[in-house]
Amino acid sequence: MTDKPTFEENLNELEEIVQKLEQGDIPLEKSLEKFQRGMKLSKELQAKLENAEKTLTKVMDQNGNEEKFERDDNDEE
Amino acid sequence: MATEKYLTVSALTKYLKRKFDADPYLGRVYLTGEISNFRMRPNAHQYFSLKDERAKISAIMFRSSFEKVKFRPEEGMKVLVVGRISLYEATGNYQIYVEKMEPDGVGALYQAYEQLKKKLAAEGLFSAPKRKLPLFPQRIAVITSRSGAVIKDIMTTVRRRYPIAQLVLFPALVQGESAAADIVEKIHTVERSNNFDILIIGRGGGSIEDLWPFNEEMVARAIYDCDIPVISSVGHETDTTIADLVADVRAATPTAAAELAVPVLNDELLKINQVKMRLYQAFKAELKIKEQQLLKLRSSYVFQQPERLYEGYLQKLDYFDKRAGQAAQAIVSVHERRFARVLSRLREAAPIESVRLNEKQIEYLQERLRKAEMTFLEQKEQRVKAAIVSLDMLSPLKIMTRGYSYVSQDKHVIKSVKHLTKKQQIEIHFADGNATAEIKEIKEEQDNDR
Repeated sequence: MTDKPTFEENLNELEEIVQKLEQGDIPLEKSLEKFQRGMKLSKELQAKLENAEKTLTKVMDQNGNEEKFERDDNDEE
Repeated sequence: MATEKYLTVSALTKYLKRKFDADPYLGRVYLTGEISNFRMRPNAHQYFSLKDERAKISAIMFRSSFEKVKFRPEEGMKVLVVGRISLYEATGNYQIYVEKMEPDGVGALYQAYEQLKKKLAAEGLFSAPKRKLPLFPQRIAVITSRSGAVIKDIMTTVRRRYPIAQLVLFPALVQGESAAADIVEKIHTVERSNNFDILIIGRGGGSIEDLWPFNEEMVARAIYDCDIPVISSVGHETDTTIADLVADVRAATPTAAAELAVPVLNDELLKINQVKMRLYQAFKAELKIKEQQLLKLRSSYVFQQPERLYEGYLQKLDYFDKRAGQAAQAIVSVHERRFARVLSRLREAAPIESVRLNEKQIEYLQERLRKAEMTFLEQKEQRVKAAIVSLDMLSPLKIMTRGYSYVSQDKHVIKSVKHLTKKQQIEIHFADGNATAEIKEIKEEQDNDR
């Protein structure tokens, strides 16, 4: 869809950063850089999950339009 | 004889054909037999025979009828057919026009299922690498019936676990003749939308006939060719449809399908928090290590006692100094020894003896010289004495005492008369004095002596 890194890619990057930092052996400047990048990533990822709207199920109609789909909403839960 | 009427072949055949077509039983015959002489003709009418141990009947199946056959007829296969009997005038053969055919023994659908499964397995559709499901799908397409429990279960599960995903239902027929085509069309629609991360294809439980669309080859191929990962949940856990086999993941129930499709949001948030903690701690640890390294380096003797840096050099210098002294000493010693040796050799070789010898010789010679000198002097003295005596004897004075005198003028002795002139004043020397005289006459003797 876009070239922007996906949530997974960002998560993988964060995981990599943490592992690298945990292993040590990185020059201090670089580890600081990585730490900052990691904090930024984790904030972004968290925000993405926390702030994402709760979405309702939709249905594709004959004309290819997505409409709200609220079947059985009442007897749920 | 002449009155006999002859029939044409056509007329007879037509009569016979009418008999077949008008017969109340032959219009719809249920027949069981073995397929014989079958050779598959693609997209065409099929010609073959049906036979048993004792008899054989030609069979034809028109293309339109054959297309509905779910299995692939094979030579020797026992089949159940429904059709009518009629006569083909051009050849005069009667034959059965087959309208429906299914395998005898096992159910037709089961047979078809087994055959398609075998075929697709041989093509590698089931063993092909499965696509990986994305961990965090944003948009999930669901192809199922609008009214079934499937969509409801999926909605409930996704809402509970991961409410931020967008579910989009693509309502489809899930049973009946046109279901397969509808499902395929919906799969293509999902693909065309190009904004879904996962596709769930689902249907509740049912008989093999009910589930049949999911065993159709076209559905299997559409799922296989789909570029979005497909989760299939068709029927109950015990029913495995071709769609299940070809899908990337098979879920036993719609709820399981939804669980496979989405993570639990709260878990993920927790994980991110944990990762964050790890990140923080790892960095902190890293800093501490670096700090300790720095501290360690700073406490190094290099900084604490810098003089220790050149202690080694000093020691080395001393050492070399000492060695240089020793070396020099050694060289001097060598030369000293050599000198001593030479000196002693020189001493041994010194000419003291010869010097002494020579000294003695000199002494001796000096002695001799002195003696010779004295002798010589004595002799000379003698000779001088003798000479003096002789001289005394020869002295003119002595001679003059005997009466000789000599003449001089101006202190020059005159030895010849030739040097005299008349009236020349001369001096006459005597032994006891002088007298002045004047020449009166000169008489020169002519060679009287010589």
